[in-house]
Amino acid sequence: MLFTALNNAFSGLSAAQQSIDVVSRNVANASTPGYTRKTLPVDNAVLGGEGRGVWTDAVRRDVDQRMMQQLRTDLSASQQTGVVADYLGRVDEMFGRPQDENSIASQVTRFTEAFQELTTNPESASVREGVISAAGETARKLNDLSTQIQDMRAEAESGIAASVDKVNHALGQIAELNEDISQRQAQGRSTADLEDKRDQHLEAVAEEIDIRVIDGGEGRSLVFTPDGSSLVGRGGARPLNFDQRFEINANTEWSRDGTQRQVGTITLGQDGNAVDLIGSGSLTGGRMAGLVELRDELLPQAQRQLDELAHQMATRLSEHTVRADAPTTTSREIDIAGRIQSDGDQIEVTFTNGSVQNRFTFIASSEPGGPASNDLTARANDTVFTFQRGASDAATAANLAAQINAAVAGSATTAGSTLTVQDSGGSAIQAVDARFTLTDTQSGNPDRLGLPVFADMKAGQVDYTGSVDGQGQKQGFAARIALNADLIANPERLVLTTGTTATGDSARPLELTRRLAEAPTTFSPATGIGGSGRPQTTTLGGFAREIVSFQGNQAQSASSRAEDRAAVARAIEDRVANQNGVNIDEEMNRLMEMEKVYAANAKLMGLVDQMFDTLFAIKR
Amino acid sequence: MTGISLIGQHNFLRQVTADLSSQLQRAQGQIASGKRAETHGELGLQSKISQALRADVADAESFIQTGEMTATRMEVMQASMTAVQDGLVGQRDQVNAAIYRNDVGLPFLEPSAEGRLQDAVARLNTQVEGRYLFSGRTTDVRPVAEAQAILDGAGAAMGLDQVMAERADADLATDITAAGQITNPTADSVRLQDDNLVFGLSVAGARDSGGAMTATTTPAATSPTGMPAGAQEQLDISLSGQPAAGDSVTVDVRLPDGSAIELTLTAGNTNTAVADPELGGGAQQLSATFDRGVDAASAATSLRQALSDALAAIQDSAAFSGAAEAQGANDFFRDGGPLIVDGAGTGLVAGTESEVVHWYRGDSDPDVGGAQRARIGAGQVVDYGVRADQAELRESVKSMAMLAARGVGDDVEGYRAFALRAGESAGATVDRVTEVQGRLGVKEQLVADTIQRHEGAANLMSQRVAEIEEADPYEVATRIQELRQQLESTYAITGRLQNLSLVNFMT
Repeated sequence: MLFTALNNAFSGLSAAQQSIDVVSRNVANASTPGYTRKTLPVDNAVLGGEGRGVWTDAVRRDVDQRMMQQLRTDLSASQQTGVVADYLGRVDEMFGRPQDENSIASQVTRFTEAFQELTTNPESASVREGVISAAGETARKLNDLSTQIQDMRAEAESGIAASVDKVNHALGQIAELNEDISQRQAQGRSTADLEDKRDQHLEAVAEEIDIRVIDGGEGRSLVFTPDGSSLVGRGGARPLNFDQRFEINANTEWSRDGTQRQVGTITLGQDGNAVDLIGSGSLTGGRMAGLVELRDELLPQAQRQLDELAHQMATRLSEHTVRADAPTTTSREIDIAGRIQSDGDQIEVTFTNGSVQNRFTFIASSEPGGPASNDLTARANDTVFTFQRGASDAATAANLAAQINAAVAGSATTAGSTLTVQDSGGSAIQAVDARFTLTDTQSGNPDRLGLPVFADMKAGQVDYTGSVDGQGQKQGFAARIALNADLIANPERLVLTTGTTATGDSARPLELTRRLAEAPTTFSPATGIGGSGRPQTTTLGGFAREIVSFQGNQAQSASSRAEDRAAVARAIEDRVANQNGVNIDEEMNRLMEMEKVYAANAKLMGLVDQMFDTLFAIKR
Repeated sequence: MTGISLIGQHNFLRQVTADLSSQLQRAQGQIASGKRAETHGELGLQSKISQALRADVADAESFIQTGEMTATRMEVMQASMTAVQDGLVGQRDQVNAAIYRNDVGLPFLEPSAEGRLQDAVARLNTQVEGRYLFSGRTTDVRPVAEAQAILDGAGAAMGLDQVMAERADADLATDITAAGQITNPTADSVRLQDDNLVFGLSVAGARDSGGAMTATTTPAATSPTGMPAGAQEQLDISLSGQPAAGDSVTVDVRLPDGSAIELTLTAGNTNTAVADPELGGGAQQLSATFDRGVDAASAATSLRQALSDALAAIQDSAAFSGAAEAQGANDFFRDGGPLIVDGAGTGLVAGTESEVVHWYRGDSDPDVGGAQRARIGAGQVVDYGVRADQAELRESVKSMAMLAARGVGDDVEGYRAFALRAGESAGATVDRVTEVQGRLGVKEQLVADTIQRHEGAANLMSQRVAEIEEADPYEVATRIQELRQQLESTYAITGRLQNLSLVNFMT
């Protein structure tokens, strides 16, 4: 029996030593992030139905997996909202401090003021230069803002690439750890430290994309996207692919259609059955989702707002509207020669049918005409068609009439370049307006007061006419808008509509100031400002202010959302840290306990030794 | 109960101090800048309001600037017009004094008028910031020619002096009573045929007192350049019998400058001569009698003679030559460019700039007021254009130039008639200039009121912007104090916690 006691005491001694070893590791790693408190499971060793001292198992950790999943989900959300808030905060900062008045809205105000000054001093060369420089400054401001937004998109693009790399690396590590853990587990060895490592990699993945982790048995953790695509399976990791693009500008967009897509997309799996994670909507959290949202939605929306402002500013200043004559009460007549000259020039037709007003807009195009998206105009409740400009005015008129007839059968006829629209069926003609862009800085007609102050620097200078062909001239216009070179060469044309206009004639400056400062303009709801049923109608300055406020508010709410998510993530992190982390007092307590156990066992061994001595003494 | 792990505790304290420090930093930034927000976003929903207010303040300041500039211009315009008007008053009074009280004053009219003309021209050529105020839209064009050029011409181009002389010559050379123009086409009728509708006397109409005589006129079939409005080509008086004593015909005769004379020929027993017309330009009546004879034919013969004599007397009068010269001034100062006598001396043509000095060179758009426009508020545009060539100022310059162009010569009577016209023109124009000043004054008041309104609004709005954007220093200071205390307490607790470990109590 004494030997048994000695063995028991020895096993206790050994267990105490191992426990102290675990305690010392815990204390040493007390401030190591990701380290979880380890415990040494001890049990009554039973041999042949009888207790035989203490038995120690492999070192274990005690982690609540449900809480870990919660932590990962919250980390994903926190990272997603965090990166969005960070980028949007930078957009907000682009507009400067309110008191410095260097936002785009303040610039539009300064531009308007320069024109206002021109109304009182139309003949002054220095005031004209002032207008030219304010206009140039406005264009440059729009260019700068566009560049910054596109730079941020490019940054998001490379951020996605970095994020994909990080995920792939971590997924690889998880797959490897899965194998190690599974082997060690089979050998009955401790896997606790490897599991800590794996948890850290899972957290790293979760920061980038939202994942679900399930226990795959044999110590394996299987990783899936929220919609069930496997990232780490039993067979190992499946890496994400990202075809990063390096040329990002306002005209490069993501598209489901690979041939149209000009920015990178994230795919999972090989060529044949690759899944586009952006297209399938699998990215629901993590930095990656935030970056994709920024690149494809939030920043393009900011760009659209700037484009709309640039578009309306250029168009407002350069446009001219002519209302058709009414030879009879049931018809309207207009000669389109010299009025439909460029793609983007428009004919607006209004019919009434009973008490219902039917509005149609026909937009000149280089492509064959037909029904078009109603988003092409900001006008509310209109039906939009395009019509092709022909080789001659007569051909253009015929194409236009064909589209008007497609809208209201039998209403339009032409004679040469003259278009006649009349009552047809129940539709009574109300008005026909030609709204077109003056492309010459000297209109040659004192009634045509519009002025193409701005031009489109596409590849060399082209007229900005608001063409809707292709992507539409409006897209990315804020990045290309420039002061019309013709006006830089001839600043007097800010005043002179014809070669004989008096140099002190304030008619043009007054009209242009009115258009800038007073004329209500309807802005496209595609900007996210104003709804499609009741689009935002305000002045150019008003819209510029809307943009600044919109971006400011968006940044602010993104920031408060991010703070909320971060607070939630922090709370769960604290809980995880508290539950899984090392409490020194607890460890010291354990240390003291083990010291006592050790001492007791040692004492016991001493006693057994004495007992042996006593035993041996009896024999002598 | 969940324990507190070391790392959890550290994380927590780190987070708390980081949060407090960043709040403290922000508050200190607010104290330094005095502003609540560093970005538009930080102003939250008020961002839109503060931006709109700032834009409104900028607009108002821009309107105030425009208004002040406009006010300055209008003030200078008023001062110029007042000076012109003073000249007119001076001229009127001097002419009146010279003619009605003392002919001795006549020789001084010319030099005085020249001085006044020079002053008026300088006033109308006033510039503010390099901009001619009375030139309409062509603000870079000096509107009025130099006084010297107006009077004496420039190079080959004639001045007023010569234009008046040529006009007077042409008028004096045109005789309405010349052979073949006043006839008895039938035994019992009289006819006046005006062969030169432009120059000399003209007939504007005729009427009869009833009875045996019937007067009719035939309007001119053509209207040559410079023809007085309403000129009649033919006057016919038909007699149905011997007129009764006291029957009369009245002919509206016009002197070259349009002065009206009602010439009444009354049936009597002898032919009497008419009195000389008065020298001034107002409407006046002249009368004569003619021998009514024994029948229609003899009455017609003496009526023809009486008409011819009366018209010849008017033609020979000082009033006529004065009026002819005055009309030369009207031609020179005509709205639409000067008229000059053509080569043949029988008609008027528009003079080119090489032929005659154009006294006004500015804008001639019919919309005079709209030539100068100021946008003094949103949707509020005020027209304040006054042009040197608008009727009131044109008349002013003309009346001064007339007198300045002519000295008293041998024909004192004719000069007196001429000077009288210049004086009358000056007198009649004084009030019209006042009217223009009055109209401009209304605009001045409007602009002044608008400036005041904008100033008031800008002040209020600036205050509001400050309310929205500015941090309350007292509140921020209090907050900084609180944050500091919190932070200090946190540090203290951290220190205590560091000491509070079982390790410290183990031996």
